[in-house]
Amino acid sequence: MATNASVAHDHHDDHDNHTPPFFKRWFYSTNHKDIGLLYIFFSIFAAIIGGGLSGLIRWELYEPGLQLFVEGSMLDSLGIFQGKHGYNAVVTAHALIMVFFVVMPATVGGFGNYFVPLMIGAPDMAFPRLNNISFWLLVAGFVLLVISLFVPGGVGASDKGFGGGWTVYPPLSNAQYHPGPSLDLAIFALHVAGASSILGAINFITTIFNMRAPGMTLHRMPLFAWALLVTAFLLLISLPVLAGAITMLLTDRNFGTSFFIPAGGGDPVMYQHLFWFFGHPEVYIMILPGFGIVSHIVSTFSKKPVFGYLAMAYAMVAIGVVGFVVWAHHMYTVGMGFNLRAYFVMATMIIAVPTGVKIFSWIATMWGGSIDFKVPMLWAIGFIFLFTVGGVTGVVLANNAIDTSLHDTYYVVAHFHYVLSLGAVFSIFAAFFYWFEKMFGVKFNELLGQIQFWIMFIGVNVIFFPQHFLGLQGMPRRYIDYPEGFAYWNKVSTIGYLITIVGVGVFFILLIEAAIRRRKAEANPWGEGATTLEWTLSSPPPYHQFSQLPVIKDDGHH
Amino acid sequence: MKKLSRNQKFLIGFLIVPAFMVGLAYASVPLYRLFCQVTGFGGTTMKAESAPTLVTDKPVKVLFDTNVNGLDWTFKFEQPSQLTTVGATNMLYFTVKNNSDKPQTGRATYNVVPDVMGPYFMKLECFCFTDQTLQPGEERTFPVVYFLDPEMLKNSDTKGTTNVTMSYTFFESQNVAAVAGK
Repeated sequence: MATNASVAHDHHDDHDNHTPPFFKRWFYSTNHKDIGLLYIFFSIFAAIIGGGLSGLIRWELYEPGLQLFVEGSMLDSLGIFQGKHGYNAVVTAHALIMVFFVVMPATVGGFGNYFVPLMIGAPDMAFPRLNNISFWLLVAGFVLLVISLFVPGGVGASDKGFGGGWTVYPPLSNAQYHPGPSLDLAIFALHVAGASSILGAINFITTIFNMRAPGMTLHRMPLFAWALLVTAFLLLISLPVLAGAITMLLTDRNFGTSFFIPAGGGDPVMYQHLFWFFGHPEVYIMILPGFGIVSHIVSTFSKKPVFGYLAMAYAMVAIGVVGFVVWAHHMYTVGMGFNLRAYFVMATMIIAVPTGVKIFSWIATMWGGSIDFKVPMLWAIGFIFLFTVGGVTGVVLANNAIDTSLHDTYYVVAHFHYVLSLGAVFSIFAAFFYWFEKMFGVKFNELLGQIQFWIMFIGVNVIFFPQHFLGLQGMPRRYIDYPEGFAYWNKVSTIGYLITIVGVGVFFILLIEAAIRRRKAEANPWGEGATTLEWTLSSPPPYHQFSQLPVIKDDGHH
Repeated sequence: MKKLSRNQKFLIGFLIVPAFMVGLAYASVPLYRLFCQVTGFGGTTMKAESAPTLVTDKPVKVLFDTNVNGLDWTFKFEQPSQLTTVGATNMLYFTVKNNSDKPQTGRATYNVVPDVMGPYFMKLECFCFTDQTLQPGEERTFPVVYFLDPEMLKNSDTKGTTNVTMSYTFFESQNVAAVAGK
């Protein structure tokens, strides 16, 4: 990566900093930093809702039998999420919110918008107004999804919301089993959120290809920008396929087509192929920006340039490319032929190679470095550890023979929560603290940050590690109840949730503390290890940056 | 006319990608069906033009299953199973009867289990994927002529097969022009 010792950007002209009035600034916003912040706040808001829903799930699963989703319970008296269908609707909404309205807005919309232009030395995104549309489309999508929870969905009169899982597989999502308008609204929500992401992706690609500062060649570009470039291509190619699939579902439900209805000659398995052609790249969309973030943090706090820069960049490209040809490992049990399954096993395992390159390069970056265990570094190392655990169970699940018995069990739940709920979310926290001073212009309390990290690290592991045991013992996912034998580890898992809640509480205390104390931020709080362009600007950066483009020279590190 | 900037060209260029992918998603429906019909993927049974030339003495039991969905019909087979050998041509009669007091239109779909037998379960005659209208109380008999392709003995997945189940389902016809090139 390149440094830019040649640019001292502490002179900014007056017009750099005149910000528009409040309403115009935040609602008509075309400034990439403001939109980035909007995305981050939106993501935090959605995370509270999505995390709250997972609390209902863990509450219900605290002990065998039905506690929460029954007549006369708290939810019943509130009139929301009633009965067993309510549980299914909560599980579905938790997943959709976390995927589309928490992780993607935070990593791509939030940190991507804020820091990609800064890191490549661009004054703003290529299409500022398109950026504004992307954000507000996402808000509209979220509103639609939330409304879908409160309108009729299932066959029963009180069955509000869609209860067929985030994958929306037919036949359960056909009009026969979910006659209400709930799923139609959820499909529109995904359409709108998808359009938002596609426009955002085009914006990123154009920005990164056209607006790099002089001297910022692709091979000198920071890894976070590389990550966003690959992510943008994945979004651009995979999301339209989801849009197509759910549109077919919509017409199957409402206009009498039979794309996925066997009675009319359709095939429900076809939907699964289309869905996972989107769904698998989607998991890399969620994790690749995290890879970029962690690379910067590990390098900054080890005070060394990242090990194997080019290999790191092309490993992400390789993950993105191979990610498109492994989708059917999500559907080993649909009855594919032996050779086809053998191919998908092999292709899936190949992804472990570029991923391994990244993990080992992070370790090599730390090796022999003068490591500073500040809060962002703790989250980054936590990410590497948890992502590796999730990656290892992923290799286990990639094997068809094992997956046949583990399919749709809690082992799978544990696996994808280790890579996403712990992996991607840890990378979001890492980025949040790494760039906290840069974005908000104030310092956070280091001690509170460390306390939050350790509480959450313990909490999430207590939630999800026991789920490996439950899955291996055969507990199926998405069920509201379980036999007595699964009680112990389910209880432990719910206790883990409570620990995590305490960690989230500390996080909000940290935010409030930082907002009240208002310690003035430094331009570069991390010292010599922080070499990317955003650290050459003030904290927060001027409203318009790089009115004189920085010139990047090769620093000879790669 | 104003010349497009480099960024605008990128915008238009990259809008083509999602448009193309949506098209591909829809194109995948007929392509997938074609793929299933050609390869017998997922238990799609095959139509054959002529009986096999090779008849072996490898015994296979073929079981039958009939279902009705959304119709007031009875759908029965002549016998629940047939003992046959790989390569031998067999025939079985299926009977459907409309028990309701109005004419109804149904359409049959079929599948075999295990799925891997799909490419080797060949039909010379069947009543699948066409609308059948039965008057009130009408009873009709359909023959199915089938054989198991001796090619199955060359595939390590299928050569040990001793049981094959063929399942027919009569659905209420959707009465819509079936989508995507059927």
